[in-house]
Amino acid sequence: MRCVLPFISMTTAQRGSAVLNGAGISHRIVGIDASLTRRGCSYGIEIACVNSDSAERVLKRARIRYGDLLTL
Amino acid sequence: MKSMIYFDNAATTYPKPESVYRAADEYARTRCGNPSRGSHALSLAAAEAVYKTREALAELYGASPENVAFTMNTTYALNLAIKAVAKSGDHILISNLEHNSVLRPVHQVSTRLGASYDIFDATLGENEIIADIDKKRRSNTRLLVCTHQSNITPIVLPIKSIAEYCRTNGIYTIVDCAQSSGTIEFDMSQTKIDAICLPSHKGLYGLPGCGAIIFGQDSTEELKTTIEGGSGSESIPLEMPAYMPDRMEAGTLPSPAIVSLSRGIEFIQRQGIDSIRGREHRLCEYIMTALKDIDGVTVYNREPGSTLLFNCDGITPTDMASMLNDYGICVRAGLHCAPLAHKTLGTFPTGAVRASFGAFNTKREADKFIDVVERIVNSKK
Repeated sequence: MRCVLPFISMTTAQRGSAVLNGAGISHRIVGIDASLTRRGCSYGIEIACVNSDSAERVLKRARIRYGDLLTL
Repeated sequence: MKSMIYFDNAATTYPKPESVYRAADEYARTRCGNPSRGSHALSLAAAEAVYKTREALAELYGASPENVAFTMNTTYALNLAIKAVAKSGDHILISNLEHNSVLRPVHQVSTRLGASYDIFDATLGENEIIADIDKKRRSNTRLLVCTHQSNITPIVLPIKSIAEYCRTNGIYTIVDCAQSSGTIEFDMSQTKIDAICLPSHKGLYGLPGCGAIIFGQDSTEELKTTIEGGSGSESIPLEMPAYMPDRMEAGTLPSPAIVSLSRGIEFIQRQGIDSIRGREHRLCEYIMTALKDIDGVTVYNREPGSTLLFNCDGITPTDMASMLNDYGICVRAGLHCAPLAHKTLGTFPTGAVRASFGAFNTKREADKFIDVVERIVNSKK
């Protein structure tokens, strides 16, 4: 199983990535299938599912907007 | 090529730092995928390189990386920003030192949208400028666009005070930082400026082909788009995405120039922005003082800066530039795409000769320049 946090844009995903790097949470930026977003191409950050709670906490603290966690 | 003195840095700085050339070359050879257009390794590497520049620009101006939108140059940036905000029936204010990159889009908006504009005097003191803006403001004034620093005279506009006045009066402020970027530092988060527009290739020492709009953090205006197309995100709706920077970045970005810009920013930060400005001003002052002593030379600067504007009796600006070129000296003559500013300075319609300085110019070059100008002027007597 893969856990992906979706972002509205590549730039926001990159900002999220910078914050996660700072928190030492390993991750990678990935494309999200257009059929999952209803609005077309999108980007997300894939994390180990075990880290999803801490990743969300860090992103919320940095006030970076993201969508509901996708489990793929 | 014979040795050249390059005094046209206000048009584009030259040479660039070695790191700028190397970065663009390395990027083009190894990472030049299409940023934000896929999730394969090369696209992600390109996106990462672009983001680094976004971060660097955001940090330089106290903004958020998402509020940095890349464009092709400052003119594109100004067009996008002005046309994003201006609406039918609006009244717009611009200064009397504007480049055509502001004057023409504002004029076009006025013609097409039935907006109107007035011109305030930017050659006054700070309080007088605000008073003149206040005098020219109307109930429907919604936008003020002004240069931070003129491209033909070292006058710097008090943009912080102007933006504060504008915010208080519900006016959106766009600042053209084409000439000030890299020589005058400011933190947007400490001002009420809504957007600034700047180039890669002037004082930030990147390559030509890239510019940027940086929007202020608390700028709330709903921005209209003038260029639509692929944004790499939200591809299904017929409208551009509502969020920045994708809303303003239709089409493939000029990523090699963007990457070069990040190295240019590193260069100016290493050198020190104040140090570069100080060096340029000292060089200008040195030349100004010498030219004023040459009979038949008129210097238009009130003070030294990064640009020096002058004319020589009996020699047209274009002829002077051509003769200087024969000596291997590059300057720019004419109206410098700023007829409005030349009218303000009294040098319209002939224009003048502009020497403009950069981080790599030397006193030895200044000495040769003074000597050549004197030689040319004396040869015409």
